[in-house]
Amino acid sequence: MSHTVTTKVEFKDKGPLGKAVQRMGGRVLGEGTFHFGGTANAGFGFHLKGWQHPCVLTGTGVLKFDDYHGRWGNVADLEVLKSEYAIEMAAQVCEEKGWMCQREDNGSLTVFHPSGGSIVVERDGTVDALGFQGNGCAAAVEAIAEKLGTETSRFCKPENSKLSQESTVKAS
Amino acid sequence: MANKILIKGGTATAVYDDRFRPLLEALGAMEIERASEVEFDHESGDWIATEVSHDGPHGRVIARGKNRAEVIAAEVAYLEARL
Repeated sequence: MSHTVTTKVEFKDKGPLGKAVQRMGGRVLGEGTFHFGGTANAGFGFHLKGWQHPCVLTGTGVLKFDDYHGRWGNVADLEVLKSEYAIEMAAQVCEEKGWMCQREDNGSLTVFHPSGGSIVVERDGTVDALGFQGNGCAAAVEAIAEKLGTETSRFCKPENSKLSQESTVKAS
Repeated sequence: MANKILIKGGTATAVYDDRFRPLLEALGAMEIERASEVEFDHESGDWIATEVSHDGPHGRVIARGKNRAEVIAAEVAYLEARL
C-alpha cells in the first residue's frame, strides 16, 4: 500500500530564495525597508526581472509586493519563483546531509540518496496562469513557458480579464 | 521504490517514501493520505493493488500478480505517473 504526500511550499529560508531569484534573472537586495504601495515594508527584499518594485519577505513569512494590477509585475512569476525555491531548498538539504545531487538542464534536481536509488525533484511542465490578473494572460504564459523551457499546455481562464486589488499575499 | 517529487502550483507532491522526508519537511508541513491498498486474493492467488480515490470511485485495480514486490513496484509507478 502507498500514501501520497503533499506539501505546500513556504518561503522559509532566504539562502535558497536568493538563489531562486538569481536563477530567474532577478537581484537580491537583502534585509532592509522598502517603500511601495504607500507603505514601508521591512524584510528580505529582492527584485524580480521585469518588476517595478521589489518583493519583500517579512519576518512572519508574508510576501509583500505591488504589481499594480499586472502593470508593475506579473504575479505568475511568483509561482515560478516558488518552484525554483523548492528545488534550491532541496539542493540545500542535500548539501547539509552530504547527499550528492545535480541540477539538470531541464531545471530539475537529481538526488543520489545514500541508501540507494535516485530522487528527481522536478517542476511540472504545465504552464498555468492561475492567479494572473490583467489583459496579458497569453503574454504571461509565454513568458513563463520561456523560463521553464517548454510550453506543454495553455489555458487562459475567463477571470484573467479581472483586475486585482490585491497587493499582498501570504507566501504559503 | 518511489523516486519523484513534483513541484506544481506552489505544492510539492510525491508517493511517500522515507527518503523524501527531509526534503519535504524543509519545504513546509506534510499532509499524507492513503493512495492505495495491496491485498492477497485467495481465489486467484494474486496480490492485488487497488486505488483509494478521495474524489472518485474506489477500488480500481491498478496492479495484480503473483509476486508481491512486483505488484507494489507497479503500484508506485502508476501512482507516480498520476501525480
